[in-house]
Amino acid sequence: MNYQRFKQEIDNRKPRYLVKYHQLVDLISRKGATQGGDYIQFGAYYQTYMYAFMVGYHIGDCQPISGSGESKDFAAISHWKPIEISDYIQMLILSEPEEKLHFKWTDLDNMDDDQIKDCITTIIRRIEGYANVGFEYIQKKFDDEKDAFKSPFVFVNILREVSEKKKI
Amino acid sequence: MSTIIRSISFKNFYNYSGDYENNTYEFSEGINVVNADNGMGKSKLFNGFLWILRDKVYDSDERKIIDITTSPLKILSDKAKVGGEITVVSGVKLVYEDSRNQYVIEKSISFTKKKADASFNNQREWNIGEVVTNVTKCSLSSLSRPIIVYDLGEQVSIVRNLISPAMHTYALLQGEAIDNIVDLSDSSTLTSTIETLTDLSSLKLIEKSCQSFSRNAKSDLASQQRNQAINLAAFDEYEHTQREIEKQITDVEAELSRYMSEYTLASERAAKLQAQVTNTEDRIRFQTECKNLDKKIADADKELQRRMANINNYMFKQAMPWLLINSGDSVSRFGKLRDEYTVARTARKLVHDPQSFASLLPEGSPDDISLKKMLENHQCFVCGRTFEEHSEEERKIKALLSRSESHAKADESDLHLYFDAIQRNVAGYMKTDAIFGAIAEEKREISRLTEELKELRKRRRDAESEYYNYGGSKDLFNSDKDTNQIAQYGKAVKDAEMYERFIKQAKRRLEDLNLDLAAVERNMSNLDGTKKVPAGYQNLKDVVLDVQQIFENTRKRIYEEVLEKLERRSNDFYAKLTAGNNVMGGTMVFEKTPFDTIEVKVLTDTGSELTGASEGFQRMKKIAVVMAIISSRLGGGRFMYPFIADAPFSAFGKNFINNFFETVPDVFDQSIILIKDLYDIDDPECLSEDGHKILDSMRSGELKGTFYVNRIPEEADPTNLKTTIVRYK
Repeated sequence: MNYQRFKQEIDNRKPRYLVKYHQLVDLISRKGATQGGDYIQFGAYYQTYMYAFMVGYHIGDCQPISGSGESKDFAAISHWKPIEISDYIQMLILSEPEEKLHFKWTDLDNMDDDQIKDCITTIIRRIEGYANVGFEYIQKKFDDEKDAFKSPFVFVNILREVSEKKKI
Repeated sequence: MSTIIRSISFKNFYNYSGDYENNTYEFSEGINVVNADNGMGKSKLFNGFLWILRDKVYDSDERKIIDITTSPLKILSDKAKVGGEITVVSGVKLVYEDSRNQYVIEKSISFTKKKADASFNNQREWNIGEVVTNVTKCSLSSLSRPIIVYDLGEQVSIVRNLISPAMHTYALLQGEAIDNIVDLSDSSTLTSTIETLTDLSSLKLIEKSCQSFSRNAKSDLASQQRNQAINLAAFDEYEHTQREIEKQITDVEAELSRYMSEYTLASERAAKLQAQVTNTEDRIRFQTECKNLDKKIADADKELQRRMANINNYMFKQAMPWLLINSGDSVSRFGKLRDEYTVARTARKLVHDPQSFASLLPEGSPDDISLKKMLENHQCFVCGRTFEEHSEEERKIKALLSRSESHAKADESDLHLYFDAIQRNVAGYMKTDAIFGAIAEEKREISRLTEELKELRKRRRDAESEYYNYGGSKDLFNSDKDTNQIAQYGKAVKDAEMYERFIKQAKRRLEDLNLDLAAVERNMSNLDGTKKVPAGYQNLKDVVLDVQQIFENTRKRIYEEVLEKLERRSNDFYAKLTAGNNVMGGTMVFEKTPFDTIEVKVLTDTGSELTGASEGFQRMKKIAVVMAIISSRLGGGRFMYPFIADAPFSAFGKNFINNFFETVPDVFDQSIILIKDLYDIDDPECLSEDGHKILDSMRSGELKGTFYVNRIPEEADPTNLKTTIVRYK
């Protein structure tokens, strides 16, 4: 598989998230200005997903969603903006050790298309797994500490909170 | 002798539910106090007087005085409305005496439900009768039975006898009405009030008669002169001139009268506006400040909101997205992995084609992707330093890149391009530490804006408070009224000056015309062929003129005496009413203008005009003038009617209530004061300290009168209020 097809294969993938987080995703992704000091909105769904991924990644726990409940497809990775951050996420996954990825980069050069597709699936599942943990954390925070979401720095604070507990 | 109200009773009238005998106030000479908190029936009691005297009531919903027939259902007590009776009556009964008789006036309306659950306020569900007036009179000197007065004219006359309609303005004070009783800036109203009270009108009538006699005497004299004229042509010529001059005098007098009236209007307008202009200027100043601050607040708030709303954008859109906070050296780690991958891949290639990589960059050198990114960003990712275009550093990086590229060769497997692309796209995110600084900076800025907003809002509140202190209101704030008022004041002053000039010119012109007329009349009398006109004609004319002059002088003298007396008494009352206050309220001066009106000025000790005195002082001045006017009446010197007040006395200032109660008996034989300022809900007798003092002086006989407290049951249902009258004295 050449570079173009490999790239396209990743771009076409639609990471999933659990349906139970749909309301939360919807709530914090809604377009629009801040409303009366309520700063919970991001503005774009894919940003919410990327944010949840980073939270999960900082927590350091990857919980694949297969078998954990009904799931929903998210937007294809090709739609995620900015591309740099989408690539950053792929970079973080590709930087993971072999025991987590179950392949080495060099292996890819010698794999046939199906094997490479499996590797790509692994990458996507790990993205989902971290986002899943991130959503769980945000949901709990939202349920338990609603007041925290009145601060415009709420999402920064959450990121600092989880990242400082376990530095990358 | 004054008329004295002996009692007033209510039947199902507002919250006075039940029959007359349960809702009666008995009054005596002196001060009669009805002390009640808001909603306990003071204004309803006042409405009883209004109905008897004027067939009107004060509608608290409409906030104005309306005819009793406009909304009659409102006067019927709610208890009567919900009671089982189909037909109920609401009424007021008042008993008063003059020197000869006792009179009972009762006015009532009957209400019949059209259906059992007739609405509280829908008049269409009731049959409402006409107002029924019953009047009886009974001589005080005999023990005769009361006589029913059937004659409507006599009924009206008995009501008018209680308080003359001309005196309602002074006898019935309600709410803020005190401000309108004596408009100190309205010189013509004050003049006519004084003329009414001092009976100067009869003197004016005599003056007018004299003028008429004088005209007739002059006409008779002229007729005689014509008959005796030795040169009729010359006489006709003079007479023609005389008529011309008289016509001109009439015209100039008419002009003068118009100028005087215009001058009066303009100067009154200026005087009225002057009192407000100082405040107006201050109001405009604070209004402008408020508006400027509003803009600053809006700008700062907008900036704050923008910044706060942008924080989530910073997560993704900054040169260094905040999302990557604490991501540490992830990019470097990826770079190392990619290097290892490159080495492994190269090693594999070397095995296949040993010549393909003859020259490699030294170990640890940046790769081509990083080099390209460095050139784009003008920053070395190895040392972190930035560099300028065309600098030595840029040249070296370019050289390194070209060297690398010149040695690189195409690889049959191109998946490394994927890793290269990622490396290229994330290369700018190597150092994420700067995110902390950016967040701290943003927090500082938001904190600064929040503080700035807080300070601006405080200044806005202060400015608004000052604006209201200078008489501003919400409605006024968004209108141009104040700006217009300043312009109106300027115009009024200019108009007054202009008409003053016109008046002077007209008066000079009148003097000249009168001199011309006298000369012509002299010439006419010189044509009579000597002593042929009987002397009686000339004498009569002269005598009538003298009489006219005497009455005019008398009127002026009385007027001036009254004015002087008014001024003295007003200041006496003013001093009594303001006793105990440290602030000097100035001295009132009544001045007769050259244009037959009166101006009341307030002067300081140094003789300069006092402006901007507090509202309390202004009101006390007005009360003092009312008292002075009433007590200056020719004859008795005391008000001949009861004085009934339902006014917010507390607004008049400290000490006023005590001073008022001390002063009122000097002026009024009977006063009925409805007051809430003596009420204290925490006191067992519901009396304030001042209330106790007044009651004590009544109980000791020092102060003549009665003292009532109105009560309502605790937590009364507002639709089911029942006022209970408790007499303390």
